[in-house]
Amino acid sequence: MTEGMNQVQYMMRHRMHGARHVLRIMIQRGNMDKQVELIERNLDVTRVGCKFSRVKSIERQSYYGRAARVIANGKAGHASTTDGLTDDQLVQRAGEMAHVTVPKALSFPSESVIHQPTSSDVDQFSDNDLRDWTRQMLRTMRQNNPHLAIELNVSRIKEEVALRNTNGGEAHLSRSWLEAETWIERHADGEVLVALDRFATAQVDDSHLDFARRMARRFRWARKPIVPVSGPQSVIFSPSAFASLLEPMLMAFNGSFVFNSNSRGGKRRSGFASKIGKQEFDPKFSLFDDATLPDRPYSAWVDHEGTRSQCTPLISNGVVAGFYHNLISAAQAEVRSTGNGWRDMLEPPMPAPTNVRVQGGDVTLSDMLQNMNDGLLIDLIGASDGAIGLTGEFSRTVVLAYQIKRGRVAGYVRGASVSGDLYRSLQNIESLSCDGYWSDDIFTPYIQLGNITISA
Amino acid sequence: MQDRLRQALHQLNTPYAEIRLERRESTHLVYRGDQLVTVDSSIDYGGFTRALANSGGWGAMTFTGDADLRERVGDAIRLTEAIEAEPITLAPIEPITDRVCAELPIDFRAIPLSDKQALIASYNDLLMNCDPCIESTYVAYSDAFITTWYANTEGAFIYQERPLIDLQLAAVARDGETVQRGYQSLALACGYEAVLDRFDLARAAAQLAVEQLSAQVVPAGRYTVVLDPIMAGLFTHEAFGHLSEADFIAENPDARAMMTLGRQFGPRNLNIFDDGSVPRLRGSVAYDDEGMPAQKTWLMRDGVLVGRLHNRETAGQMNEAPTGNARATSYRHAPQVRMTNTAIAPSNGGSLHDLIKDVELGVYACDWAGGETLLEDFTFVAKHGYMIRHGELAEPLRSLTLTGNVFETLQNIDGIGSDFAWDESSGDCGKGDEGLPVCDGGPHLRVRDVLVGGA
Repeated sequence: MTEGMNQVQYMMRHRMHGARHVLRIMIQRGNMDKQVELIERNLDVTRVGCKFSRVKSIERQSYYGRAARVIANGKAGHASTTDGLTDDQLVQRAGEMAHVTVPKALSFPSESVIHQPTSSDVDQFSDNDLRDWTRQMLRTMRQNNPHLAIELNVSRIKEEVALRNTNGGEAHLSRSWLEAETWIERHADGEVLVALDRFATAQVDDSHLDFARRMARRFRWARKPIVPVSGPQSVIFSPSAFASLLEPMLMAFNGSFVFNSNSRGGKRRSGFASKIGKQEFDPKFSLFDDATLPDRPYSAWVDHEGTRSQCTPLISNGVVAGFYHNLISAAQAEVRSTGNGWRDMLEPPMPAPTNVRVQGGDVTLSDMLQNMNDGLLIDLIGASDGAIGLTGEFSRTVVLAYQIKRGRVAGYVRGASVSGDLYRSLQNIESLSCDGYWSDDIFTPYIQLGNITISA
Repeated sequence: MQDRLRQALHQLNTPYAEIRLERRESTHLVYRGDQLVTVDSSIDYGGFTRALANSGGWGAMTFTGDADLRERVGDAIRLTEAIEAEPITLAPIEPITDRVCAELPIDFRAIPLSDKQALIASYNDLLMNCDPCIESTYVAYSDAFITTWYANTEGAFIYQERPLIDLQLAAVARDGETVQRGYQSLALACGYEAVLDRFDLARAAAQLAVEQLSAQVVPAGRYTVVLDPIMAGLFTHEAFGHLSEADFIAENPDARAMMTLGRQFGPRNLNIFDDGSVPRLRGSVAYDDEGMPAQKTWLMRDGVLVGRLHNRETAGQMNEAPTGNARATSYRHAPQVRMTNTAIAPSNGGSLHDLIKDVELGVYACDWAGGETLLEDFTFVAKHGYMIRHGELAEPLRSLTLTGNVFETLQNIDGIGSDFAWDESSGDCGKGDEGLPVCDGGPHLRVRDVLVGGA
């Protein structure tokens, strides 16, 4: 083992020499009409689990798996294993699966994207550091609310990926990050209030305490239950709530969902595909997928297909600007991959967003509340309404909102319903804050939208 | 394998340890529009081991492959050194040795890939050509054959085979700027025979997409709602099933007080159960992931809370009996308290017609699209529905969100049908970051004063 190289890196490199051997033999056999890709992935996760505000378990997960993709005669197939299949067997199995018609233009990258892995702060984080970090978060969350029941999982994740293909392309990706998810209950006066949220960072700093303070603030603000006024109204969404509303919309910018084909009329486009270059939203609204941001957990210099990562504008000043693609969806759309080919463990790569960012505005949340005077600030909403972004219609449960009176928090609301048409509301944004935060992988400011229906 | 696992667990410095190995061989095919877009085969093999700390708390290791098992158990024991938790007492169970093999009328592992492709292509063709409004389609087939080996330091050894098969059919219809989706699915723990000749599902998905083009958004407000058996199953799962999972309440005195056995929650004819022993359903298992046999557990009898779902840890904490509900999504996860197949039992309310005939203005909610629960607050989404006007089904409705407080809603049930159906569609139950196959069911159900989100 080379000095400075950890065991995972050594194992990956050692095994990838095996991949080189298999790929060389395939080329020597005259299989130049066949493209082959081999990838191996190592994921190490350490998780500290707390139940009822106490550290209860520590768990280490270590996965190592390999996958092959074969493109032959315009057809592609995929196979993966965490078992003992050799590279040859894996390639053969992927060849047997090669029934998927792919565009002729589909070609694995020929570029070499190898960065010398550097050890991050997160890599140096020990199990005890992780446990202590968890305890700091617990303390901060309970500082003024000692009776909260807190469930908290804090994880350190390290991913190593090595990839080679018969076009000469090779890539190595190494990244680490920290994640936390929490579920907090408060039982008081016959009322049960639940708040849940997630947090992720690739930097060891105090941002975990900001997250913990935000959770604590929710219970500080939620003092007096109030029944909100029903009917259409203007509402402020927190970054956590707005990020949740954006998730179905992001599916509409997935390259593989945008470009469909069918037998009646050849290639047909749906969703926003016919709206590229058109002003569909308020000029204040800009949305990016950006894998190049420093210190974000889903940043990477290369994706799981060997394409260099980039910042991709999806909506620019209200104009539909583009989609996020992997190799296949890009070839179908006759554009270049945006470096968004990601795999869930060892599934075939699909287009997936990385770090999503909404451009902020120029007022603070405090200004927004003062300007609103009376109204509703929705902080947390229910996760699922089955929407997949075909339309902007949504209907969610209000998990936690605050009634604003004279620019101040006057009480809290839970259990109401919030509905509307997000695409229509985004055509006329009433206000965007300059302050915001990352809600897992989405950064948004506070946003004020009109024509939102509240039912209680 | 039995010897290897026993050796790995022999004479350890821990009060309790266990190992679970799992091998999952799966195939996945997807059509999108008229193109086959995914053909994938995978073999996933790995294990999970955990050990109880002498001082309390768990150390756990998850790994791929099966090398160095004793070392893996040792790693789990070492991890416990970083924990200072309260002592854990596991409820006692009989250590069982058993072998449970799957019996498949048609084993999907023996079906050539080309046959599977041809089958889903025929469903896709039907979807594509069902109506000129159909713009695109999605048809997905997947099968998985799962083998697990389980052993613990108390002497249990259980080998289990478990098949899963899944068919999903969706159509997207367009009329000008209006776009709507229809979706049907089938997911069972059985063989290939389940997905043969299911053109009815494809037709239903296409018809629903087209019907939804002219469907209205329900005006938001409070209504009397009649749930179809699938939605009644989802209601049972989301609103009451999760509250019955003892890990929500075991360590929380406030939550324990809220869920006191003997409390009257609903009408006298309301009976709710969880049953992991129903053949062919996705939530069924012969043994849970702690080696406890699956069983039928009554949660509510005559409207009164009579039971809850346990693993060995929560049963030990609450001094109750384990119920066989310790389930893990895969070897990548520790077992948690999870539902299996959860349902409301049928009663004497008659048919759908009987339940709607007295409703002046209401909503009939059909087929689930999603749902979640935050202790006593729940939300569930129906894929589609109908207004009820003057005791009759009226205009179709687009997807609708139902929201409520579980205790108020249970009290508001005023009609429980005499029919019953299990929901055999796809979809996992999410808890933390895990999605687990479960099944829900029930009769038609009528509930007063439900908040329905809409326009």
